[in-house]
Amino acid sequence: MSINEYAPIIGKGPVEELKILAEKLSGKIIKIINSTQMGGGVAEILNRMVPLLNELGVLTKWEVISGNADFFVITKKIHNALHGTPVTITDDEIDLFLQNNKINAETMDLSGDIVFIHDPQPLALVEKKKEIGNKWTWRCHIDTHAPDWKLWGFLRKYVEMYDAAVFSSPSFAQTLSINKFLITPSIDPLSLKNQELSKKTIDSVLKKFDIKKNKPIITQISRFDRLKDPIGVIEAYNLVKHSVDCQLILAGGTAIDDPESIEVLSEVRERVVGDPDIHVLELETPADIEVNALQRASTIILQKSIREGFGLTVSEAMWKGKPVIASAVGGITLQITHDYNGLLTRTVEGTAYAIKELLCNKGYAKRLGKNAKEFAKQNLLITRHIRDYLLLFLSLYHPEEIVHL
Amino acid sequence: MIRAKNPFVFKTRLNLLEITGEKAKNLKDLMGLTESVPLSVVYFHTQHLLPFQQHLSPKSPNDFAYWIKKELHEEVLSEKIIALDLQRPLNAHDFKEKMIQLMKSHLASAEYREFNVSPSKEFNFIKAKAFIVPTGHKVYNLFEFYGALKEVSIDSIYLHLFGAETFSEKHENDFFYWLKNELKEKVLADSISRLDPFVFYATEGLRAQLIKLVNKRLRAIKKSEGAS
Repeated sequence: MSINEYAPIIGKGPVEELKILAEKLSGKIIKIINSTQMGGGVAEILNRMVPLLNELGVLTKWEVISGNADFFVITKKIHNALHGTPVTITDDEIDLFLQNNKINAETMDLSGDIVFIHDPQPLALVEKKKEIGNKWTWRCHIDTHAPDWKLWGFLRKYVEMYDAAVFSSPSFAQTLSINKFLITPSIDPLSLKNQELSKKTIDSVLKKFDIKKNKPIITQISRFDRLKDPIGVIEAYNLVKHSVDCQLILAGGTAIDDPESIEVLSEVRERVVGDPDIHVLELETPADIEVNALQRASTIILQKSIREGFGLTVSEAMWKGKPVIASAVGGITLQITHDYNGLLTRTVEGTAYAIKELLCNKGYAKRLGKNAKEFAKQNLLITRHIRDYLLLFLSLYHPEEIVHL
Repeated sequence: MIRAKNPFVFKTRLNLLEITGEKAKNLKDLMGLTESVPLSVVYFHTQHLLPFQQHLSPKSPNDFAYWIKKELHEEVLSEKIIALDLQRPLNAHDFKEKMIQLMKSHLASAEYREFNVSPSKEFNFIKAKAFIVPTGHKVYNLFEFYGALKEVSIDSIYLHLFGAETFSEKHENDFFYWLKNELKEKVLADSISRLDPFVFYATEGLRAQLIKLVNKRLRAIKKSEGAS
C-alpha cells in the first residue's frame, strides 16, 4: 500500500501536505509501544499506520510490551475502571502492574526521539524518561470522562510525567498539568476490511457462515465484551422480531489482552439457543474480508456500546454507506449526528424502535447512509489521522501557538 | 500574459486541536471564558465547521451560537451571534468583542433565565494550534495560478481566502492582494474577494467557483491576445 494510492480518495493536495509535514520530521525516530499487535482497534490502526509513516520518511518502530495472563487480567480491570465500571483493584495487583512495566522498561529498547505510548498497559514505562531524556506522549483510547477516581489519581502521576497526552474527545480529558490534544481515531479505506468487495466475495462469505439473504440483516461487529452490550443487542432484536422479520449477526473476535471475551461469548451463545435467525460468529483474527463482507451485506449496523472510546466499527459502517444505530456514548457522539448521518440511542427499547424505523423506511435509511459515507470521507480516514500525528510530533518541538514551518 | 515580480506562494494551514480543559455549563461561564481564552480558541469555534463539516447541511459555522441554541435554548441570542457573519470580514479580535457584547446584553435582559446543562453537554473550549506550511506551489502568472488552484488542498484555498481575517488586521485576502498588485487583475481580484465562505457549504464548491472565475478571465485574455 502506498500513500499515493489515497490521492484518488482524498485528493492530491492533502497527500502532498503529508509528505511535506513528514519531511519536517526527517531524522527523528518514533517509537510506538502498546500491548498487542493483533486484535482490537488500536492494533488495527497501528498495523496500517506504521508502514505509511515509514513510507513517508518518518522512521517509526512499533513494539509491544510483554506480560503474563495475570498482568492482562489486571490491565483489563484498569481498562474497565477507567471506563467507569466498578472494579476492585488490590494493592498487590497494582504492584504487579508496576513490576511488569519495570521489567519491560529494562528489557525494551526505549530509545528514539519520541516515545508514543498507547493506553494504560505500558503507561508506567515513562519512569525511564528521565534517564533517557527523549520526548514522551501518551495516547488514551479510553472514555475516561467518569473514571474510578482512586485509580485515576494513581495513574495521573504517571500521565503527568509525559510531555503531552492525546484523547479522542474533549470530555475524556481530565485536568492535567501537561498539554492535551484532541485526535480522533480512523479507519483505512484501502485495507481489506474497508476496500470495495465484489458481490461474489460477499456472497461467498455469507455462504461460509450459512447466512441467507431472504430477510433484512442487523449486524453488530465487536469484540465479545460486556461494554459492547451484546446481550442488549439480542434483547433489542427480540423486541423488533415480533413485528418485522429480520435476522441478527453478532460477530467478533478475541484479543490477547482481553481474557474476559471467552466468558462473554459463552453467555451470548446461551442466550441465543433456539433462534436460527441469530448468527453468533467467532471470527479468527484477522478476519478482515469476513468483517467487510458482513458489513456490506447488512441492512443496518448496530453499535450498542455501554462505553466507547471511539467506535471504529461505526466508522467502518459509515464509510460503507450503511445506516448505523449506535449508543450515544463516548466518542460515538463525535461520529454520529443524530438523524443526519445515523441514529443515536440510549436504551434497548430505543434501539429496537430505531431498528424498526429504518427497516420500515428504506429511503430514510439510505439517506442516513449516504450522509454517513461523506462524513467518514472527510473526517474518519487514516490520512487525516496521520496528519494529526505528524502535527502532534512537530508540536513537541514547537511550543508557539502559530508555527511557521 | 503578465508575469509577477513576486510569485504567489501557496501555503496551507493545518490545525492541531488542543483541549484547553475550560468548560462552560451556562451562559455566564461561556461569556467569562470567551473573554479570557486566547484568540486561537475563538478562531476554532467560529471557523472550523466550514472545512471540518463541509458536507453537512447549512447550519451555523459558529459553535457558540450552535451550543447556545441547542443546549441553552436561547434562540434569540443564537440568531444574533450567527448574524455577525454578515459583518465579515472581521478579524478574530473584533469578532470576539462583538460576540461578548451580545452575550453581555443578553445576560442583562429580562428574557434571560439562568440554566445549567448537565456535565455531558458542557461547552468544551478547544484551541487550534496552527501550522502554516508551504505546499510547494509557487506561481508567477494567471495560468500557473489556475493550475495550482486545482491541485492544492482545500485548507490552502481557505487559508488564502479567509485566513487573513484571523491572522492580521488587514481585511484583504491573499489572492486579492496578489492578483491586484502583482498581475494588475483588479476586476478578477474584486470578484474573488466577494466569495463568501458561508455560501459554499461544500468547500469543493468554493474551489470550483474560484476556478470558474479564473478560467473565465484566462479565456478573455486568450481572446484579446488572439485579436491583437
